[in-house]
Amino acid sequence: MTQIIINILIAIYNGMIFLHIPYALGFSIIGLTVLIRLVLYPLISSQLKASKKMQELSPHLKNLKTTHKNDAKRLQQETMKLYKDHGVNPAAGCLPVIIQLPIIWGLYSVLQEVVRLAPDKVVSEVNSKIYPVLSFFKISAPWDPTFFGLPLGKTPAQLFSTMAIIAILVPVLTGFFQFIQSKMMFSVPPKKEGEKEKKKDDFASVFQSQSMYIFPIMIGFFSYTFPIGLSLYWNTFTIFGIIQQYKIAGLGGLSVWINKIYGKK
Amino acid sequence: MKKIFLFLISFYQNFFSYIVKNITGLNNTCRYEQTCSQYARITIEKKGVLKGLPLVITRILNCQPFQKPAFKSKNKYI
Repeated sequence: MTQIIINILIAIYNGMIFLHIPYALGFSIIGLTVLIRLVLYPLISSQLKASKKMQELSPHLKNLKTTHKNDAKRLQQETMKLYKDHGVNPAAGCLPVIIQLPIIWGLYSVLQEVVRLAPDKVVSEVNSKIYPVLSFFKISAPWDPTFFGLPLGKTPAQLFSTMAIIAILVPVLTGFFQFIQSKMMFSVPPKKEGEKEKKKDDFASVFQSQSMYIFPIMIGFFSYTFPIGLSLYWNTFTIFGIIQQYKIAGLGGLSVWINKIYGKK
Repeated sequence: MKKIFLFLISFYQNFFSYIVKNITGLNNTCRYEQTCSQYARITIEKKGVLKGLPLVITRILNCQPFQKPAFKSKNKYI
């Protein structure tokens, strides 16, 4: 997995170098992320569509749950019927989620290593990972480890003394985009089965209801301690996700705010 | 043993699943009325780990595009 990702990354990097694009490493990271997102696009789209319809149906589902409280089999059949009538087809099951996780993790671990390579080791380290078949992709000179002046291998924490604004801006932006995505995801406040079940410890229930806010802050904090190259990857990933979500399911939970800004309602 | 599994499931339900949702940007769309984790909790609670776990694994493996969602389950707890 790791090696495949490195080979694709270097292939893109070679393309960038061939076209004399500056900051080729940074753009290669963006390119690789976009490529993977494009491959996953149909799978995730189908999931988003199903998810949107299911959210619309959730009041009906609640009704069914109360009417067939004691008959689990009947409830199952009625649910199935409801989905069929409204054309919900969660055909992919949980595959989109399960497939994404190793990919996200794989990209993370590869980029983590790649951006941190010392300039004198770049050529030997990278070339040792290239498949023999693809040996024409071997690089001959170390890459430019910066992206518009930002050192991709350094963390905002390390840059705090020299570029304080950047060091703050990167985590804030990363958290912000993450928040936009989370906000769009839940068009209705996430009230789920967790409510009916006995409320366990307070921390868990707070975490659930506030995960939309907690998670972006966590991500922002992570990006403060991770190399900027990783934040570049993660933001590309999130922004692509936001655009895809917007195209498929609309603004979702964000629409409330957008309407406020434009003075509607 | 049972307690460890039940704890892991509740940890997944309370924390991990929310993190996964936020990371992937996908809200849960379960093809089953009872989600896999609810099913796992109930089955393991009632049948124990040794008998319950194979059922849970079968259930999770059934959640993929090549398997049509069959709502006829042989398990009476579903």
